[in-house]
Amino acid sequence: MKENWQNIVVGVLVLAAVLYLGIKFFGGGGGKGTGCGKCSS
Amino acid sequence: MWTEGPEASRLRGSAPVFSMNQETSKRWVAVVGNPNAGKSTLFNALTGLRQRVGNYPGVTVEKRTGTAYTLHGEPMELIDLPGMYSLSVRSPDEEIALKVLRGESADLPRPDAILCVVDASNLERNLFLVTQVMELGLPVLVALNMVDMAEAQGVRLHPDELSQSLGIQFIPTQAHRGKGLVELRAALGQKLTGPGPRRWTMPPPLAVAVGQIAAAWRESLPAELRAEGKALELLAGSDEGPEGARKLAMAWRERFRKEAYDWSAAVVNARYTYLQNVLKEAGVGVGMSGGNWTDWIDAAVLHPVAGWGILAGMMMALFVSIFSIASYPMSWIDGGFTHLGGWLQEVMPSGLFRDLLIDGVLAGVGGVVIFLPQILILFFFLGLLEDSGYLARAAFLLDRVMHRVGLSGKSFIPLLSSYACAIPGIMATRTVEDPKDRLTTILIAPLMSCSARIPVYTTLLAAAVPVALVPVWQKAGAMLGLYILGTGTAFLLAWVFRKKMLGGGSPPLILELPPYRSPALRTILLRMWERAVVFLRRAGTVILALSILLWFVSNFPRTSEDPSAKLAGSYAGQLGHWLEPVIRPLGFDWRIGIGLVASFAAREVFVSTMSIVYHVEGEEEGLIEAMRKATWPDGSAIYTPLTCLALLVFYVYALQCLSTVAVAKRETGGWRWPAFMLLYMTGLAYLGAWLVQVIGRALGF
Repeated sequence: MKENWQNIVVGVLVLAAVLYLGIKFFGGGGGKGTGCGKCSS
Repeated sequence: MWTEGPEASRLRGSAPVFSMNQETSKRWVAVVGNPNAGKSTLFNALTGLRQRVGNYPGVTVEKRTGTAYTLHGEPMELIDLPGMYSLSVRSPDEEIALKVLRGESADLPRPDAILCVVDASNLERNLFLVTQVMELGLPVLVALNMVDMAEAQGVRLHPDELSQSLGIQFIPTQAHRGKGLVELRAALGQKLTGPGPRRWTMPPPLAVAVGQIAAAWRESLPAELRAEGKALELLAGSDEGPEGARKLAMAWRERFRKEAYDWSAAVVNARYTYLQNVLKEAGVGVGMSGGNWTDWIDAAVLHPVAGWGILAGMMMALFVSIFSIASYPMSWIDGGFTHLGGWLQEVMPSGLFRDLLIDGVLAGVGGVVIFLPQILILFFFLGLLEDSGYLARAAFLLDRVMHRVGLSGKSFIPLLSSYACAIPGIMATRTVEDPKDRLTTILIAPLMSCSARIPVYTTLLAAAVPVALVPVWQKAGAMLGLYILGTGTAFLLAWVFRKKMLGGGSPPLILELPPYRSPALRTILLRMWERAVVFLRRAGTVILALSILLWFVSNFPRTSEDPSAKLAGSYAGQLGHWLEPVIRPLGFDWRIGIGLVASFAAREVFVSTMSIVYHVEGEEEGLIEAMRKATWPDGSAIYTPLTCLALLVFYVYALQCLSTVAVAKRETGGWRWPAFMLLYMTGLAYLGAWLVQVIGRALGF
């Protein structure tokens, strides 16, 4: 039971990471707002 | 409140006076001027924004808007435009500026007034543009900028006399010190009128032509100056206007061609003659243009031999600082993350989330954040060199090489920006006029070693040779070598692309050498702060998300409790094993394969990945130690100096950055060139790393 909540948190975080990266790199369609944010462009 | 030019009046109804753009309910003021006249600095001072500025021409390549206020608190929208020497545009960035001025921009309304920023130390050339801008028919105000520098050079300025001669208001400013802003705000709040009639004398044959063409415009453009401006545009080849005017312009153009009369040169000469007289009448004295010390420094830094020595010396100083000074804050950050990991180990119950935090988040994000001091030092040095005016000299020096490979000196600024990050570098290619030059510059820009490569270079150099055994200058030399390798290859490929693939010659370099200035520490620190925020934001978003994902694919599916077998059986391990036969000739194992694939998103993710991979395998020590201990199944070391060198060469060449691919697609207008870039750079990286292994082994390493 103690480990259960940790598994749920990990599952949510992994899903969130996948979603975030998908939107970040493939969801912008080019133009301002796309990219890694490494530069302020 | 401004009085609009007659054309604008006609467009918006009959009222001669208006207070704001009726389309947007806002006042719009376009900020224009020659490159490096201080437009963006003035824009920042008036709006409180932090638009990128620099002591070289061509920093602004896009329009930016910001809100400024008059002394009475009335808001107005300022549009900061890329610099231009005249309204005869040649490059994409100048075209952006001209479109805004003519009201043809898709996303901005026609400006209600124009604020011309002129460099007071170079009035004649700067005022040339002003005479053209006046013909656009909008109210014009001139900010006589950098008056302190002009006066230091012995230039005597008489703003009131200039205002009287040209018929527009001149306000002395020192944008970088915030001087003259109150007067400027007050002027912007007052009634501004459109310029009066033309004051320069048009040469006789042209005057007849312009008079006739302008007459055909007069019905729709009652203002004489604007009608004449339009007539000149039609003569230059514009196809906008009443049919009668267009036909007349075509006939006159043909006549001038037959008579071999260079009317455009005649206009330029007439404007300059007029301006010389204006400056003489206004009592504007010409100074010493920089003074002897500028010439003395230039003689050294532009010397064909000594100049290169000075450039190499500066780069060495930069890399020595990166290794020596940065090592202290880096060890503090490293200690902080280690401490945090230990604390989490103690306070949290064992479980997946704790593993994710320690082996994924802390190892991945911490592995990259540790390099923040090195990146800040890089930007501190670049800021010093840029602000002092040295970088424009470096461009001049490099132009000889660049011209030989078929590139113009205009490519220098984009390539230089690419040392920080290829994305602004590729965007800065908009200042390059020739489309083939521009494309070549875009194709080679990612070969310049960007700041994201620093973590990879530093880690691999440390893994190759024990840190304690190597003096700092040797490490700095190795780093310089990697930068030279990237730059040298870029030039070689530029020659291939330009001369063999795209064809055509390269235009001569026309480069303005900005004056030397003592660097403004505040500006540099501000830029470092911005970089730190950008870097940490990236670490907290993209790198964090990638670290979480990498930790997951390195841990699942769980096939064993033994850490090594667990990694080998995971998704990441399976991918690495699948890839190993391809990368084995380069001396890379499947773990490195995981790093190569993961870092396709961004180069520095290689460090995060290796950090996570070795944590998952149960290594408690730092990444460098873990890498040194890593072995092949036969017990031989993986990270030999030769393999590290092969990996370094791979990262010098490989296009491991999705964002660069995205911006290249945007700037080239399709997938064709980004795909070519990705293919040639990956091929080059593979070939380079393979050659290192083959030659290294042949030499007995």
